[in-house]
Amino acid sequence: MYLTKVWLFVLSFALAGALALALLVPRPAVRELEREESLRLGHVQHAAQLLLKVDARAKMDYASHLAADAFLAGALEETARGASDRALHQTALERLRVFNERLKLAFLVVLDTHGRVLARVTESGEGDAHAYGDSMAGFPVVADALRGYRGEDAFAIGSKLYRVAASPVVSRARDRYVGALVIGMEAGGELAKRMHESLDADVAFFLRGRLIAASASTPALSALPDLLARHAEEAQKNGRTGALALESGHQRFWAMATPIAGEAAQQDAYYVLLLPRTEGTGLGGFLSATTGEDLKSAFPWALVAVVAILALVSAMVLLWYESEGPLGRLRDETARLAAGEMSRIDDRLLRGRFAALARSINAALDRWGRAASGPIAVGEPAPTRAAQTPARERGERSERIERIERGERAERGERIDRPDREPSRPRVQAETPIPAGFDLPMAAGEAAPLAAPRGAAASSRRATPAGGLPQFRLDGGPDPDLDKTDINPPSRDRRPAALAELPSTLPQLDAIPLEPPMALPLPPPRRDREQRPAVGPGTPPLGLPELPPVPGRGLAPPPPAAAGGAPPPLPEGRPESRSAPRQPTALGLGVADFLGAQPLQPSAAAPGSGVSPAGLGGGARELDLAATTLPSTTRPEDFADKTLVQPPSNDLVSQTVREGGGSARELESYYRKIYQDFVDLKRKCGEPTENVTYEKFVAKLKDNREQLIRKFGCKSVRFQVYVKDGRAALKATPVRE
Amino acid sequence: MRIVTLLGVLVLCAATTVPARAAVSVRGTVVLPSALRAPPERSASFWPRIENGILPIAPPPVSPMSEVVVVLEGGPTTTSSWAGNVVMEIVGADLSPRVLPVLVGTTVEFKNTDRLTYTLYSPDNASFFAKEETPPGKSRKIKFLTPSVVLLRVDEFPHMEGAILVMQSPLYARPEDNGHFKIEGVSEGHYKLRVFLRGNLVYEQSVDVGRVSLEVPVKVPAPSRRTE
Repeated sequence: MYLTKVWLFVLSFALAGALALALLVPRPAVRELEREESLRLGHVQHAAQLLLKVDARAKMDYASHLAADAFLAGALEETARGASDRALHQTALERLRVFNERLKLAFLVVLDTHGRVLARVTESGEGDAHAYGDSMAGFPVVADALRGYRGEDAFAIGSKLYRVAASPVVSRARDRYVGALVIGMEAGGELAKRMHESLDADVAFFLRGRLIAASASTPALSALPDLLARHAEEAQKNGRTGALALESGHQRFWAMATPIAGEAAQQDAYYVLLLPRTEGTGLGGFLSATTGEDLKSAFPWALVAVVAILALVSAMVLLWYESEGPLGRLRDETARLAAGEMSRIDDRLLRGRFAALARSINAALDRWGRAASGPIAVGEPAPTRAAQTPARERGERSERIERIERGERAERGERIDRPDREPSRPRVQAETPIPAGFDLPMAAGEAAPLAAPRGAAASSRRATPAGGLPQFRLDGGPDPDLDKTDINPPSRDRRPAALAELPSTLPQLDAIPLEPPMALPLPPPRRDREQRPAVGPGTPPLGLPELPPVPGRGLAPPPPAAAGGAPPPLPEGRPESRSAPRQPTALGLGVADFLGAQPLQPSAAAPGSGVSPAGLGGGARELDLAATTLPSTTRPEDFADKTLVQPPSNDLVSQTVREGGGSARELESYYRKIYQDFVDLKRKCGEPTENVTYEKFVAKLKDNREQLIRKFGCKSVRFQVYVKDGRAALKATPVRE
Repeated sequence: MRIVTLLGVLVLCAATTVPARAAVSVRGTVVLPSALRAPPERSASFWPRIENGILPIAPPPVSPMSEVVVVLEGGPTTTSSWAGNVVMEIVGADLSPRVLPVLVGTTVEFKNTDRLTYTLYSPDNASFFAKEETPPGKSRKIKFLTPSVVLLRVDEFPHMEGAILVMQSPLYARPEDNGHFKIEGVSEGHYKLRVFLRGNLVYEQSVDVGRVSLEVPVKVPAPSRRTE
């Protein structure tokens, strides 16, 4: 599922990236759009200024045109001469009404030379009759008109805003000024609507922070006074504000305020242009603004479909490669296993978790088969791939060992009998897994009841005597192998559960120091060893409670020997570590070789022989119990030529257990025995032994023993001699209890 | 006898010929730069004011000299006060007069004779001259007790500007339209002659006043910026 997970990760990242892009991509466009809209609003404001300027000039021209009216000029001339004002007022009033019927102005006022009202006409007509005599001389535009200037201005009177134009009235003789004429137009809703039609933008007029007129009614206008107050300084300084974002509910506008030219500008009179902000900004707006036409016209649906199909096909291929395929093979294998076509599942055909599942099934099959055929050691490790080693490969190794054994027997003058192979032996050999640790002897006929599964029955003959104690291989002899000694722990997945906590690797041991022959310093006797009394046959090991019988474990009676005193079954094959599948490991290897090289007598493990088994503890108990099932004498001749791995005899086990611990003297004798066995085995293998000195050998053993004790906190270390690839080798096994 | 008579005549002559320490007058002419002779265009409209093309532009109805006050400060300590009333009229969207010099203790009555309501205030003295509406026909009276220049503004009409110059000494004068001014009763001493235009100090010079009247020419320099 690794690739599938990677693909899912890739898809997830791609999806996240696409989403990030979808969220990110509109932002530059939004910025550009906002910039464009701001520019557009600036252009609209410029157009509005031009519009107002042209309109102001038009009003100045209107005022100048009306000021040239002869009736008004005549009335003002008479007023200047001090004639009857009321009559002149009425004359001027009537004339102004005629004008305003056509112009529809907010007001028209005729002033005398002192700036006093001669006549006034307003749109509503209210108060026109009472305006006579009022002075307007204080207004700058009026004062200028009385002097002869034509001008325009903007007034704010009350809550109304007026755009005003004034023109002097010249006498009909054109020799003097006789007054002025002022016209005004309210800057209100009408002007806002006209500007909206011309500018395509909403217009609103504000005076002293209050909205006085607008081209459209929108709630967003209520937020404008505060906005204007915040940007008043900017507006006065620059003549207008920038584009201000204005939001109210769902309405979003760009607003730009401009002070109204004239005196009203000092009274906070503004006109504000409003442009709606373009919707569709951001992902949500983009989606809401997308229409069906966008999806129809020239949209690369084919590309989208191809990408989607490619992603789907890739996911399906990876799923098939990593999940469906192995699952199908596992299903086929299990079906064949159930049909009896095979005894084990070939986990090499599988990968990953399915291979682990197959191995677990194989381990379960082995356990069941062993439970049916003999005692089972608790914590027995899963069967290794060595069990699946082709028989041909295992046979080659067995042939090599067999040649060594035959040569040794030939040296002793013994007759080399090559026993006929039983018809079923090759099958058993090919399917017998090699368990870790010691092999328990088992009659060959015991495999018969476990024909299905055959591999499980064969593998059940193996047991781990030390209850899952780690066993490490000490590769190589003293010279040259001993100098390159290394200790390799079993691979983690092949170790029993009880060993899972142990480290998977051990440090490389240093080369054996070359020391002159001398008396070896013996380790001080341990307190617990000293306090232990002698152990009799029925006495449990010291310091440990007596274990109750465990059904199916080591307390089961030994399997009966084959009829006719047939030799015990011959386990074939060598265990292989996972990292080095072709390398034989110490798991069960070498014991048969060692046994064949130096047969152990039952007397060696007899009680009261002076060798204490205290150093092995509980692990040794199982071995002792198993030893009771072994024949009293084990001979190499009893083994077939294909024998590669031989379970140790009980004598050997007992002896090994006893030799693993004990006093310094016992250790010395133990080392000497191991040395002798090692030298003998090297001779058998045809290897030179001149460089293998006892001192170097023992020093290496002690060094390794100390390292293992220090590393694992075990109480003792057991050494065994075996043949590895046709060469003599040592293996060290920590004994925990 | 003749000697006694002669001494008496001499004493009399001396008494009549040696003048007592008397006040003199300071006279002069204020000359405004051309930029200040006419009221400036106050509002920045779309279009500047345009001459009519028929007749030349007439002089302003209100002379700029009416907004000028010449003041002599310093010299012998001369303090004076007046507890009378002075009227400043609000009419035609204008203040009349626009500049009013008064002595300390004078009460100024701002009288609205127009049809509009005006809100008069002083931007620099809001504590005692705050914004207050003056309806048509109503007045607002304020007594000035501290020598200062009080600028006046009207809230509704920004073009309406005025000033009240509150002084401790009566040595001030308002020039005529041609710029001539005359300050009477100036004692001998060292003074500073200051010229205010619409409440703003536009000219200042030292003047040593002796036993005879003094003619002081006052030429106001052109402002670097608008006095408004």
